[in-house]
Amino acid sequence: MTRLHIVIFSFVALTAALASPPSASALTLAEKASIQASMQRHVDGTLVNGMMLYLDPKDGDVHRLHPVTAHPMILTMGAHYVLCFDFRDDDGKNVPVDYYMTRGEAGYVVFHTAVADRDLLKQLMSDGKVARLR
Amino acid sequence: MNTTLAFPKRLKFKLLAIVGMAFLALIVPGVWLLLQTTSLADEEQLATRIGNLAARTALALDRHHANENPSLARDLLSPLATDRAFLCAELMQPDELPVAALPSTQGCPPQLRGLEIRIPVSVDPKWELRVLFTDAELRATRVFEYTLGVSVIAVAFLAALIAVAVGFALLVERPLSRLLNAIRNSSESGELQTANWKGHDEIGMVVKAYNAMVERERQREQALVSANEELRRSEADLSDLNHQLEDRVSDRTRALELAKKSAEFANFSKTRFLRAMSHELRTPLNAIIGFSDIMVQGTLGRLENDRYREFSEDIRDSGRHLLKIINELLDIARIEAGQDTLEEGIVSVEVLLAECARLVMPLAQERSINLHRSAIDPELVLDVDATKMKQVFLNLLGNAVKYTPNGGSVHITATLHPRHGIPNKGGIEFYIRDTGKGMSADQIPRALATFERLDNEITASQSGTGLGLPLAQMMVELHGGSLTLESEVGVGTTVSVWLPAVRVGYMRSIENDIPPVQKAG
Repeated sequence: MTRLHIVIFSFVALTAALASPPSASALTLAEKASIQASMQRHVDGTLVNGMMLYLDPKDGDVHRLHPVTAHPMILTMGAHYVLCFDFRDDDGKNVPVDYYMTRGEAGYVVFHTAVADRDLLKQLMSDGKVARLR
Repeated sequence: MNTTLAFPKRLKFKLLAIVGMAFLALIVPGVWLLLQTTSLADEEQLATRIGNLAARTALALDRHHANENPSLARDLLSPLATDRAFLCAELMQPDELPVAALPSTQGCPPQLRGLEIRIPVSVDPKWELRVLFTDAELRATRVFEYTLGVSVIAVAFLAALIAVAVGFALLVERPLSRLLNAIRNSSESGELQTANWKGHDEIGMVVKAYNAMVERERQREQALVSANEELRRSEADLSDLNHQLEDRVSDRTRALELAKKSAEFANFSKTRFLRAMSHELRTPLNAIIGFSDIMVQGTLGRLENDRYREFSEDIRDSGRHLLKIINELLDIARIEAGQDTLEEGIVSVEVLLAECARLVMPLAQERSINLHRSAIDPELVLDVDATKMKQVFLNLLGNAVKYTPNGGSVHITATLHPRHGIPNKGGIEFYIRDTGKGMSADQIPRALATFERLDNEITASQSGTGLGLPLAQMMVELHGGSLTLESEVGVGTTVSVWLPAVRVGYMRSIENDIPPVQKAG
């Protein structure tokens, strides 16, 4: 086997490995849909007259947040998941709300809600504890 | 390029292989990552869409207590059908039959395959919404995206290869082909040819350097041709000169041979003439000398007239002088004719020099010249012709005394030189030093030449034949020795007589570098 043959063989093997279909996600599509639905149900369940009331610890005011849209991206944090939902306050300013979820006996449940605390999520991501779910 | 190289060995193939592999190595992972990301995003979009739709439907069912009103439940379920991924939905209690479904007449039959999600509608009583949906759109999208990606890669790959091939052909192959053709033509024809290519890139510089080299080689060849032509002309000229020289040498040789024969004949004639004349002269001359001596001695009666007696003395002295000249001439003639032989015998150096000194002493005393002789080993002997060597030393001592002013000195010494085992080295050397007026360097050769007289004040008052010194030199050389002169004007003259070691010995036998006397040659 010549050196050229070795190079060609290595190249073909690399190409085959890279060109293979993407591996299955940690969650199936149905599970992803379930966790999205669970988040949506949780959001709906926390709404008061269609709004989420949020007590801001910084100024002590209760802010009214209006649900806008859910992020399709699902983040994983070990055995837990993080999903994001965009709200809008009365001033029209976007307020991100991150839902930390886990799998319970009856399905996915929210165990922590971070309102306007995107820094927490960024810190967890920079620490490598949170990554995008594949 | 017109070459016999196999394609895999050609530069173009190697370049295409490198570029192709590099291209694929870069673009395939990129496209793969893009497709994977896109696929993941599509999947998340679908999950979000179905999840939200199902959750909002569940919320509506819960708020309107649709579990108690199947018609309302079916109406609330109907928006689910607007999603193309939707397959079916059922509102039910766990492990119970659905109270409402979509499609309403079928629900979710067991044979229907799809992705299922269950959304709680109410907790107490516990109702849930079961929704089945398909990911067919994801698969279709994925196939489309993969097909598109592969197509893009293939097209880009082919385009890159074509671009590389065309670029290589234009930038490298064509100038290399011309350069190769020029080199081949030069090799086949034996005449250097330039490559017709102009470019400002590296290949162009190579071609330019090659053309410059060809031009220099042409100039050098031209110079070589010129030099060869010049060399041929020079050789022809040299040959002509050589022929002329040979002719001249031949002519000169013939002339020299003629001259030599003529000289030999003349010398022979001279020698024969001198011998004949000397012989013919000496006979009457001896009579003249004898009779004049008788007259001077008054053997037959004293001459009364004093003038006659003085005339008789002049006749006798002149006769003796003339006889001496004739004898010397005869000796020279015999030596030059090679007819003179040595009558060798053992003679004591001490005796030889003492005898010569004794004969010269009266003249030295007459002129108040101190004649000094260094001590010589009485055992030291020479194997020589005693008569000739005596004649040599008498001549040299006589000259020394004769050309030394009154009150001067003449010194005789002898020195032995060991030969250290070398036959032609060593011997004995005699030095006759005087304190005369000396000679200049240009006068020394003339003093050693026959018939030459130094016609200056040194000799004006001295009588001489001009034959004594040359004759002495000839006689010494006849013994295998040499005679040399060293002189300095105002200081004096030293005559050196060297005889080889074979001529020297001791009467006693002792271990010495000088061997016992042997007969020479």
